[in-house]
Amino acid sequence: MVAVLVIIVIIVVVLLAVALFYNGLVRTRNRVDNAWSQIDVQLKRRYDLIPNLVETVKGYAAHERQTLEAVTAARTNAISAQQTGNVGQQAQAENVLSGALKSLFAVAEAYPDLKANQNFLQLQEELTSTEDRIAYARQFYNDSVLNYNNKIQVFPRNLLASSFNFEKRVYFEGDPEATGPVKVQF
Amino acid sequence: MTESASPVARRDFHGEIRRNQWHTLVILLAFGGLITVVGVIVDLLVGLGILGVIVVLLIAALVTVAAYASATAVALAYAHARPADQSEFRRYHNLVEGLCIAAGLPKPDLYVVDDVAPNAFAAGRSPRHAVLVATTGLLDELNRVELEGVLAHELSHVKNDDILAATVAVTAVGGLVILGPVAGELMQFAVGSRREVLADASGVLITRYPPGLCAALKKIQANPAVVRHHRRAMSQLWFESPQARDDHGRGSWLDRAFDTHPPLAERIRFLESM
Repeated sequence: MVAVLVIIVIIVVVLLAVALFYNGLVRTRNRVDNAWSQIDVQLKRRYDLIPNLVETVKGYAAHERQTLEAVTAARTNAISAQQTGNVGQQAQAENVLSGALKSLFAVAEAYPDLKANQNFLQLQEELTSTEDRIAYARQFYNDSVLNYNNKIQVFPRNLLASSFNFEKRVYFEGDPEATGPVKVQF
Repeated sequence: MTESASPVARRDFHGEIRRNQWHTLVILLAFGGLITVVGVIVDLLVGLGILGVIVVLLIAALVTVAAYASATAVALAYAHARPADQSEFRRYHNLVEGLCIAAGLPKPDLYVVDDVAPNAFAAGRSPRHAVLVATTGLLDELNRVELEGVLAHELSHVKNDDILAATVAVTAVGGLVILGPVAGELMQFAVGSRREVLADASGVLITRYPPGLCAALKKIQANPAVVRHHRRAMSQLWFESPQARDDHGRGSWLDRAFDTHPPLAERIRFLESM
């Protein structure tokens, strides 16, 4: 009789532990998904701002065609990468777009009239803060992924995670070239 | 950095949040208790008996709830804060929105105070009912990176849930100011001396860039101006102590009794060691 009771208690405790772990994992995974959609919101904001910026710059620096086209192409590229849903590919396309925007703002330095344009200044503020937000959204996403990956890999949750198909998530990596030395050409 | 820093920080914060809730309760009870004691003494003098005691208890309960509910509005009114216009203070709004994404917080309501002294504070009952206030001096004088450091510091007060105790102290401890230094002790108890240093550290955990906040602190240190509209009972909220300093950087003894800020030099040293 006592043995049966002990077994029942053990089964109940184990079931409760499984339920708690499982719910915890689902919550953490949802946070990762939510963090990912935050990045998407900010990227979309950037896509929306770019055509305006290109138009404004065109008005003052029409012969910087190459730079302008590079930005437009990088934007189109990034939008189609976003639709594939591949994290690695999207991160790379976004890094190219960030680089193209950086050179556009560098080019704008040579045009005092453009730099004094109220519309341009406003777009610059919006794009700078959107870049910040993308960086922060990535940071939040990567923190959430770290937390989630840690959770599904430590014992004993890893047993539960593998049997319920909780898969490891990928970090949104920054541009590896951005951390390297700056190349200057004369 | 995340891997090594956040588990320690998280453990610390949970302890701090519990401490803050507990202390908020104690301040409110002290406030309600004092009203009750005064009321009962009056009742004994007038001789209304048990009916008077019931009325006193009701009034004490009502006033305590009012002190709790109105604390944020009172702090905003004391500081002469006005809502920050979306287009006039574009950078302010943009920076806070970005930081909220990083911290995983809802965006608080933003206010400004027209004052040249660079300063800021956060108040409210919870992250969902929070306000952020910055002086125009702060918004004008600091560059983007520095301002971001200060705003992240204020947002981490919201995230650590330590705005509750400090905000309720504005009305509850403010109501006890007649007690003088004893109220000062209560303020120290409510807010604690680690509040600012903790927010500096967790603010940097949001921006991941200590030099930004450090540069802001140095700029503020070099600026002797203090905010014009200030009450002793809300000095604990401000980013930098709002009390006028003499040559040694210290205020009057009663001001000091209420002041919960460690010296700026100490905070800068701490950030430089990170």
